[in-house]
Amino acid sequence: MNGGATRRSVLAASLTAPLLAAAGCGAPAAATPPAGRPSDVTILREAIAAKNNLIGLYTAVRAVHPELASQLDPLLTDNTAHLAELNRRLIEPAHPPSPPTGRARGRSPSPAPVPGSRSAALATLRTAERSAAAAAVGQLRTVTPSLAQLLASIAACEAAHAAALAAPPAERRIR
Amino acid sequence: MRGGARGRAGRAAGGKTDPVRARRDRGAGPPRRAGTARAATRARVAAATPAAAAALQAALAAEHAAAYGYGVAGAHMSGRRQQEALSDWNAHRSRRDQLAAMLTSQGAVPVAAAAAYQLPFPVTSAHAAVTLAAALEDGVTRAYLGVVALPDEGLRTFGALAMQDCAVRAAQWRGATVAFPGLPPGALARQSPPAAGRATPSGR
Repeated sequence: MNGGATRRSVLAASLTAPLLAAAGCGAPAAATPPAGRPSDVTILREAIAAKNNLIGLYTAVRAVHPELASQLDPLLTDNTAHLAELNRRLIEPAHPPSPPTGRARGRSPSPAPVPGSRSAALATLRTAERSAAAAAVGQLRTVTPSLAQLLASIAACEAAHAAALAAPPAERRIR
Repeated sequence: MRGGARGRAGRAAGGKTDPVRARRDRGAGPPRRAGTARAATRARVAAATPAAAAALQAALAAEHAAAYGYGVAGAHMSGRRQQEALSDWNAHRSRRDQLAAMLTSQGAVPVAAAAAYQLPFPVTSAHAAVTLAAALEDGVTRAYLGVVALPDEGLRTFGALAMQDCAVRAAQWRGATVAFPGLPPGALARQSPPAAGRATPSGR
């Protein structure tokens, strides 16, 4: 059985290890992926396109249902922060390896009409957030570790968004 | 409201490497249960590499700490909140057993729980208990970041899904979401000049 000091050190490492790994996010992500796997640049482009679609959906729902603004704006703020960070990570190569089509995560560029009922509109956003989180988990499997951590964090936020959109504020565990 | 919630959470975890830390004193530890360990046999287990074992051990240590912390938090809650804390406590124990089984199958000895943990702040009210629950989830989320950084695709997926569970629970306790669950501020906004020694995030 391990002694207390060992457990303490391991517990301390439970935080420092991922932080150190995350601190390596600034390292160049220029490693060439194995053949057949999309590069970080490709994945970032897809994630940016999908995030733009998601933000567009929020904006459309907010326009049709302004009474939802107080509920949606914090989530929209998160998504805007995601987009900014993804854009910061994207360094376009001089010669793009492929056109940014085909594997785009999320919906098609043509936006669907916003449902007229409030609950249906929220359900649309909920589904979009859930899909985004699921897509990110698929994307992060092959990218560099630092991008995998970012995508996992964004996906975790999207999952929390989906849950928040599922429950009216009064049903949550607020104090 | 939102900013206030974030501020409270930030203070809760401020200056600590983890929301709860193992204490030297030895008393009655959190109850152990191996009932869900069998589920881990279905989980894909990567080749036994030192990095994978270290990341899984760190996640396991964080789950131990969260299970302990929820025991404290739940004791200061009542009614529906307490039921939710119980549910979350069980979720962490399930992950804990899963991680232990994964490590065992790799030939590693899973790190044991400490007898007791130092809480980040005194918990003497339901309000503090709710704040602690959110901080516990933040701590476990950070720990799973290390699993997500591993090369093994199965372990990455496992870690990412665990992060989602933690983030959902944290947002429910906090009443608000955070944009980048688990990520330290130093990992973001790379355009700004980095502070010296950013590899030692003592601010968290």
